Amino acid sequence: MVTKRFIRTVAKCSLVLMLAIVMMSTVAQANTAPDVLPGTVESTVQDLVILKAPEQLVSSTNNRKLPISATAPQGVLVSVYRYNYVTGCYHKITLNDIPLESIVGSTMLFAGQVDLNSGANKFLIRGAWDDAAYTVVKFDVNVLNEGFMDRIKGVISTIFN
Amino acid sequence: MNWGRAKTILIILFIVTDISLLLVLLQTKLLSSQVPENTVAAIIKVLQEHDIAIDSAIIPREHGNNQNIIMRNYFEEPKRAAANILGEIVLEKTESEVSIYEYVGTRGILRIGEDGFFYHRQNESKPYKTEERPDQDAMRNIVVGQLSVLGFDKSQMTILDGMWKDGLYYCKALPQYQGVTICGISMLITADLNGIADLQGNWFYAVGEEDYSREPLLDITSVLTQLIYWENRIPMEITEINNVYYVGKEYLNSREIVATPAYEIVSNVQQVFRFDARVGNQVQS
Amino acid sequence: MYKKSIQNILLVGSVLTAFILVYQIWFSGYFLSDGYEYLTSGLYSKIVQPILQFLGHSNDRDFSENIQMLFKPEKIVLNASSDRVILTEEEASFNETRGLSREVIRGCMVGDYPVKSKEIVDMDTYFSVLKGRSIYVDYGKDCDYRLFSQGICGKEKNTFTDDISVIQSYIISLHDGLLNDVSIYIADQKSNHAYRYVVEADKSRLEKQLSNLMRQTYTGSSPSYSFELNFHKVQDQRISKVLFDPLILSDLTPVSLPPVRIDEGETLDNMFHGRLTESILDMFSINSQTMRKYTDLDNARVFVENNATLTLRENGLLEYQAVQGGRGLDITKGDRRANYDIYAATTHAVDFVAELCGQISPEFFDHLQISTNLTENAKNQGLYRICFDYYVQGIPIRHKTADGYAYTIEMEIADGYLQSYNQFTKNYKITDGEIRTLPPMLNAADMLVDSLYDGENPLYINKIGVCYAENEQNIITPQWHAIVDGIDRMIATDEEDDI
Repeated sequence: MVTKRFIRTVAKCSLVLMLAIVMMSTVAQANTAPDVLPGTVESTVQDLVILKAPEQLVSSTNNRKLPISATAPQGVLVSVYRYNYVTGCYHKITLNDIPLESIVGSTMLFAGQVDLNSGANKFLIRGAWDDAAYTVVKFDVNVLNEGFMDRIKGVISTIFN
Repeated sequence: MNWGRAKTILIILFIVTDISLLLVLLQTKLLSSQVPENTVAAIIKVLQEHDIAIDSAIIPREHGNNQNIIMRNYFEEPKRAAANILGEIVLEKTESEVSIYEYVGTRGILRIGEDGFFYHRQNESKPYKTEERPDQDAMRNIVVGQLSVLGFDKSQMTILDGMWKDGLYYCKALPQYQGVTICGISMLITADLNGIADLQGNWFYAVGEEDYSREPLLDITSVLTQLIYWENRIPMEITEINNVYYVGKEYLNSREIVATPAYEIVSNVQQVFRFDARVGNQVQS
Repeated sequence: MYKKSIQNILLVGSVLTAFILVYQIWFSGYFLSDGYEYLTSGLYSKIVQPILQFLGHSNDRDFSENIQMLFKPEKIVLNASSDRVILTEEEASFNETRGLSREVIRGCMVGDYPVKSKEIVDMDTYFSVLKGRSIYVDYGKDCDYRLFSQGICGKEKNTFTDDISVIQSYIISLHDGLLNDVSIYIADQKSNHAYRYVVEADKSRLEKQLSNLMRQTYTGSSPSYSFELNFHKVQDQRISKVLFDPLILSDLTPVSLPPVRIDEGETLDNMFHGRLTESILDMFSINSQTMRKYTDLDNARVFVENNATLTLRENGLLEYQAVQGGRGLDITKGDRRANYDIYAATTHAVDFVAELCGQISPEFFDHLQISTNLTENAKNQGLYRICFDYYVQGIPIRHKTADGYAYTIEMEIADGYLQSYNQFTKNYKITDGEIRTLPPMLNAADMLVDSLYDGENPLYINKIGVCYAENEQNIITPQWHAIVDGIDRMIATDEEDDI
């Protein structure tokens, strides 16, 4: 009788402990996002992240650096990825080995900056509560050839001068 | 040209000039520090026309010293002052944020606050019998001696307004500097056969002076003139004019203050007027 | 021979004695009674004093020089393609860059670089210029254009006067537009119009100088403007708890600052016990004859006059307060008082501060910068509050008081009369020790939101930056501070202080 009661108590405690460990590991995992996401990744929930800059999902620029910003609810982990045409996946961007991601604070704002390559650049911004609940926004930025613009201006300048 | 002779003549001329200039300088310095007699006569006449009688002999002809007296608060360090007055301190209660300090010692109790200090001796009071009472001068000396036992410097004070009541002697101590009274600071004293029974008021002691003697003080005559404009003027006789120093009561809770020169005018109807000796305005009595 | 020497000595001696006695009689005040000193005062002020000044070394600068020193750019931003560099006073290239931009703007003001065309542009165009090859000079506060002009070119009026009333910053754009012009962009803070002036200037020289400066100073990080991050706009899909002024530059990395300590010199001691007290009393026209003075319970020396009270505190704080309803010290030095405006108030304030600092500590003046807007008081013309910060390597120091954080100098002027003047007189310097790191700007903004957001209206951050805060125990720590909805706020990143 006593032994059965004892075994039941131990079983209950073990179950509670296992649940706690699972929950904690889930929480722990939400502090860092996956380093790689498949090219076909889609949101599982809506509105965990909204892109503020760039304003358009497809844009052009002749700058080599791109400011990125987003709004997200407080506590959401926001991460930025770059598309790799070779692997067909999105890889988390790092600057000096520090990943471009952070947990959004009371301002509900995220900001970062990435370097752009010539031609087409594809990015993804992910806002996540955990591995199961996340929103992704994909956006493209084309870098115009600066030399080309300068040549055009040079021609116009010659004509008018 | 005989340069030697020329130089001799020039030297004599310049020496004569120097002597005359020196005489002029000395004379102007002397005159500027004294009130001319005709001015004194004129002011006496003007005062008499306004029912204020004054004897020429009491008007001081010489200006006082134009200097500030620097004075430090005796209770600036409350505990040290308490040790002087009470002897051994048995109990201490302080609220330094509001500047209130209370001490109990072998002699009595002492309370120090922003409005001044109060000392009360522990022993019961022992009044003098009528026949044992010393005269005023003697009693003042006794009081001064007893104050020095409590740590006050007797050379820097004067005792005034002594009176007897029910065997107890009541008087007031004012600080002095170089024989000149400093008004605005005082201690009220109750004394009996056992010594000082009660003390209350404020006390500062002189630590130095600041000299402004290059600027003379106002003539007493220009100050006396103001009496005729006083609204509540009544017929009176001026019985005393004193050079004093003065401190405003609003500064009495400071660590260090300066006392400035003033004229004190006393009348026969118990009125006392004090005027700033530099600018001539009336200060609080 | 011996007799001749004696004769010569006697002659010289008697002549000198005569001069001394005459001087004593004329200037000692014994000879001339009250009201007649003018007979000799003119002689003294017009002949004796100029000679003494000529023989002595004069440190006086004129107003133009003083306003140049006190009104420097808070930052200069160099932008070339994708690279961007922020220069503040601590950077080695700041002065060189400032010199270059001053030369250009001054040239435009006086006509050395003629204006080819002028147009009004919208703010988006103004912002886009900052992303191209440009030099952005930001003073961080509004300034009446006449004062600005006086500081740059020594004259109140110039080429831009008709368009600009209040200026805060300007942009020199190279490669502007299709024709790669050199243009000057100035936004008038009063009318909210932004002007573009295309000017005739040596483009290639400016290009080369800009490139050189970028090469010297570029560190690899390029901060972003708020307008680039769209932090200045409300977003439809989501509530905004905070908005930033479009021109705030966000560095997203932590900020490291060296420790600062008080530079223990003789100033404080002199102020309390030495000759400096007399000089300060003189500056404030406190008559040592008629004043009352005392030392209060906090060991502050207090000087009381009919019109005002001057207090010197042990912590180096100098406080002057005119009597309520009274006039205070006249700082106009005879200038006209009619239609007293910000131009006059600033002129007098700067001259007064320069003179007072010259007495207290000349090196102190070199660290000062005007911190408040120098613009007209719309509600009450004639009444102005002008404040100065003490800067150490480009970072201001603020002082904790019972009422919050104070500037190093705060003065109130009413129609040319000084109503109040408070100055912390200590000097500071960088010291060896542990470098302190502050979290990035967005984290500081998070704290602002936590404390101030009311649940409905977004906070508007006009300005945000780092400073050193000195508390009442003289401990100096770096902190973020911000102007939120027009109010100055200190942001505590670890312990006590509230916002």
